[in-house]
Amino acid sequence: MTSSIHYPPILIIAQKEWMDGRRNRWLQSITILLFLLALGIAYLGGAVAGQIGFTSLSNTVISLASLAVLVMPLIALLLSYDAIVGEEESGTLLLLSAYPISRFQLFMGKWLGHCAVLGSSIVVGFGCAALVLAFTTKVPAFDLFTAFGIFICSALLLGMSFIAIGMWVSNVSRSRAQAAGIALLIWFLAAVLFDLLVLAILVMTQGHLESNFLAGLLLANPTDIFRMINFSMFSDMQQHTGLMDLQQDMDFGLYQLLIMAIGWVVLPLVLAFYSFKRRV
Amino acid sequence: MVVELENVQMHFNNQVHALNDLSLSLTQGKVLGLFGHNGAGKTTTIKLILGLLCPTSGSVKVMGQNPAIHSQIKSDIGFLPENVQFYEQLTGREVLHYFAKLKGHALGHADSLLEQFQLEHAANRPVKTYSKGMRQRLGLAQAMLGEPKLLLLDEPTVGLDPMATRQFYEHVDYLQKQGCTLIICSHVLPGIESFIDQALIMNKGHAVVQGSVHDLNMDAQLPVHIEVQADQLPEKIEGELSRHQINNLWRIEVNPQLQVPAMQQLSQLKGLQKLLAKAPSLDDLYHHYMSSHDSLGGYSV
Repeated sequence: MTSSIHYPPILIIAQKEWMDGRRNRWLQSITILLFLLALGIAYLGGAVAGQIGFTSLSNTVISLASLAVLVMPLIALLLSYDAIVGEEESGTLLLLSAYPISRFQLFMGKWLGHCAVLGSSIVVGFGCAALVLAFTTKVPAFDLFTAFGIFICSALLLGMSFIAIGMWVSNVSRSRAQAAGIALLIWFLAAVLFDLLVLAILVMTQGHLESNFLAGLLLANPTDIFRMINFSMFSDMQQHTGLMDLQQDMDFGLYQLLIMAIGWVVLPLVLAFYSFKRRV
Repeated sequence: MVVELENVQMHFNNQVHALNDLSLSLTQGKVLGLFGHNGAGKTTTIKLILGLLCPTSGSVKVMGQNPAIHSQIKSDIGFLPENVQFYEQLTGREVLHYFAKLKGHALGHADSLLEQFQLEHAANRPVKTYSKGMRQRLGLAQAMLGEPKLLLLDEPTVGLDPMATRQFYEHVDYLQKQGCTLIICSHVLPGIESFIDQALIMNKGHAVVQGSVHDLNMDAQLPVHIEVQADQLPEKIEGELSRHQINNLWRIEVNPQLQVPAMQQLSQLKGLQKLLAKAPSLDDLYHHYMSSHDSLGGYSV
């Protein structure tokens, strides 16, 4: 009789998701994509303003955040939308439920695994871009790494939040195709339509809006929290566009915003887990 | 008693009667064949035994415990779902190691199962390159991880070639001798009857009939087929029901209770070259019970 080894099931499942992410090249392609995105914006971001080459750290981080706010949720949703419904369609969910592991372990293991894939892509992709900038520009290293450090942390939180949202979508869907549809819809609502609606409300009320109400609106969307975190680093700058102009009127500190962002990871995660538990 | 179901009713959404008054008991080391069409309630029965569903009424006990509450018994159960597709990107070895770790078993055991199921040569290739039979063998190896006391196999021989099917049955035989209890869900397959101790035929959530293949034979009283090759056949054979002739070969159906006198009579024939009696197969029994159950009607879902 061979001896048995006991790894924590959450880690076994997370490790398998990680391996899956590496095998189907998600890990490698996201890393490269994010790296090129960051460098591209750093060197070509000034082109719209008629400048070529690296302009400034604030321009870079703000442009990067404006783009990442669209890209990050999309990647996170793509990674996670079939986490549950995909296993159900291939029959492995039924098989796993016959194994001596709890639903909590299975769910958390999958979430952690996907977070590990996206998280390491974010850290390596953006981190390498920051290193390249450190060597090729005259930005003080401390400023550069602080700005990128905060940017990377907020991107991690945004990614983790949308992975949880994606897993919720995966739980409430009856098929992979349906899950993909709902995930895209959520992405469009959260990353694109929401800000347009808030702007429309502002225009309709001609700016006479209770600032608490507006603050509530912005905190109700994890992508806006992400934007606020990154824009607040350069609050001395007055070149923000769109909604972020309004943030000047609100007094959200960096830590408050980070806590809100963590809340936006926990909330969908709890919601997704409960929908998973109810699923037969 | 390894598996015991008593008067189990299972309704979904208060409307669909997935199972109706099903009772079943299986002692250690026995093999049960669970037969029926799609939607007969086979998968629901398996889910009840695994504790994934709770019966609307009645009781389910596995190794003396309620599987829905005492989930630790899952460590002693092996399961192969129908049509399972393993993680295509991973290699066969990685898939089996993953499941072994989840069950808390040593990886060396998984490797020896790969060898037993002749997947050694393909162990380091991604599952997406596997043939249907190889995938099925991987699934079986998965179910046998950790020497389970109870094995639930849903359509285990789908996609296996005759050689592999035979090896599978030999494996069932071996496991049974080790004291493992098995439930094999299947469409009726030729040759399965010699490997099962008990058969349960289900239709629309009802147990149509239950018992050993011998009991079913006694109960159904289906005609025995006799093949005779001789110069001439007598006018009247004992218990004869029908006869067909192809050249000098006859196929005769006789009443099963008169098969011995019939055979005795036929063995006296002149120029006898062949005399062969065939008991009704499980397939015949299945069709007999299914058609009589359907014709009774009144069981509509």
